[in-house]
Amino acid sequence: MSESTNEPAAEEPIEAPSAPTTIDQQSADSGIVRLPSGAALTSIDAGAITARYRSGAVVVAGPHGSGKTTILTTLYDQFQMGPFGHWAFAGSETLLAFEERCHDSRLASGRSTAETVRTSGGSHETWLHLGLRGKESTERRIDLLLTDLSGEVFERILSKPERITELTYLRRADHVAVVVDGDLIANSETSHGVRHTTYLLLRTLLESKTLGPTTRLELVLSKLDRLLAQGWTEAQFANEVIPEWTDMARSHGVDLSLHLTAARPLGDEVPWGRGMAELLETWAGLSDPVIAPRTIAPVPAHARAIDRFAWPPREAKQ
Amino acid sequence: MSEALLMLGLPETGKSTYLAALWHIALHALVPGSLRIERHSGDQQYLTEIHDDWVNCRKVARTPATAQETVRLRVTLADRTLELVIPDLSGELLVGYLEARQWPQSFQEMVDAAAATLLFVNPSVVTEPAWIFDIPEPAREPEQAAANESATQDEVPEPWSIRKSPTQVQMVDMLQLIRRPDRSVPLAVVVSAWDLLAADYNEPGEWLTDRMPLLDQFLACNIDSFPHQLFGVSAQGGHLPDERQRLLEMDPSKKVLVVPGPSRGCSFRIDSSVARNDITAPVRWLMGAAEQG
Repeated sequence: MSESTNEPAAEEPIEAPSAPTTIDQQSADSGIVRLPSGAALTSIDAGAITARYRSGAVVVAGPHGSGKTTILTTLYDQFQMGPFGHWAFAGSETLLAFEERCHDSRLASGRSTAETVRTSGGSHETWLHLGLRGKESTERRIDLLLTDLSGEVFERILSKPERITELTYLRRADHVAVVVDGDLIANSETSHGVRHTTYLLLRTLLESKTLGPTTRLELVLSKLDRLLAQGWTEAQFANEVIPEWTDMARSHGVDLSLHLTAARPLGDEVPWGRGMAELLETWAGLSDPVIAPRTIAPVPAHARAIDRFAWPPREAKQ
Repeated sequence: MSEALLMLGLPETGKSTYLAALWHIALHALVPGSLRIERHSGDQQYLTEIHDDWVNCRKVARTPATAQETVRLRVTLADRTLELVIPDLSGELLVGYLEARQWPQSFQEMVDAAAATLLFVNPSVVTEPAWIFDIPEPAREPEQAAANESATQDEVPEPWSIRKSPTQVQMVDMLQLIRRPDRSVPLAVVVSAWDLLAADYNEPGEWLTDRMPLLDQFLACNIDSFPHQLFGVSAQGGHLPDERQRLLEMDPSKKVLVVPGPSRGCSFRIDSSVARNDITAPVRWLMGAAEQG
């Protein structure tokens, strides 16, 4: 891949434009009107949403199996039972994508244990959309765009850090959330490995200066229930594990905020969706992270298709 | 003047039964304040057939899965006369559209032409979201655990399709597809088989919030696109065939029950003073809301 052109690798494109799926697509000959697919969006499709509403973009990062998709589907599933946190469900242009991802945790799947389908590494449709309005005042609307990227994307970046420049939406993101698997942290067989991987991913993000000037960097611990079930305490995690990441981030002028979550806990000790409301409030912009990062990234001059993914400043929108 | 209404609902939501009862009430002009049929004319074969079932307290035949009947009613309300054009689209056909992500141009033209929409939901056939982890895991004795392990290996998961999704998701999907970017579409949400719920809920808004919260949120958040009023409606008046004898002994127009619910996004509202058997109230609300623009 040529860095000067920033074209995606031909064999493993991270993104590519797709034909827009709007109700206007009609086949006059067949008398058939094709409908929006409801599938995950490409960056170009997502750009159309940001042009309409005040929006927030969240890049959810982490290796495969860390719980990225489960966090996203649980966030959506909470609205199946009513307003969640300060927000009510106003719609989704990726309704079917959410549903497909939620299916294996539902009884309708015919499964006996809840699963989350692994996100395909070759998918170009990476954005899930959640339209929200204030629960109390429906005047306030925000549209969240959340990446559902394969863990392989980040695993490739760890082995070849230069490839992080392919993720040009990082500099447009309002939040970059690095997901850390609590189950692996708690297991002595895997703990050091996952701590190292997380350190490396954070360091790659910070050293590459691909984050935007207003991007907020967060750590999201998933599977808190598994961590606690193996005798850990939240304080122990904060004292023994977090500092190696926060100290490194601080050396780059960035303070990480931390969210402890159990999107789909096993057993009854930890409630379903633990920490998800706080995560939503942060992503929807109702609560600020502990300290906002101060990384400033230069804007590259290249002009790939996904760079048309325009994010007007929030203050310029309704 | 012609006013086109869209009538939408998933399978078995009571659309045809509603139409049959509407025709009866409006034709006989027995209910004060209701819509009235100005002239009995045109091809009324479909209405006659479904009315025959309704008036004789038989389950009204479902619209065939591939069929779409269009009912034309010339009605008067106060000094206003208009022709209502109401397509009775099979719920099965509609689910097929959602699944295939395409529909015929002729259906798109109906969506475009509709001044307002009657949306049906039947509480007795609603599929609510249910999660695997909501089911308590059985105590796992070693032998039981081995059996469960074996069962897990043998199970054949059902692939996802929109048909497998909760009813409220299918309805939100449908509304997102008929949303008009250029204008609002007044929506009369008819919660049918209200007789089954009347003991537990005062009005249909309570039920919607309780049992279909995703749809309730969507409607509340999109009043600009879909100003709406809810109506609890029992067009048949009871459960068939169990209560058939009781219903046969009643005046057909008296077995109908209508309970207006909240109106959101529109100052025009049909309130609880409406005659309890005025099944034309949802259509009257749509006409009033559409007139308000």
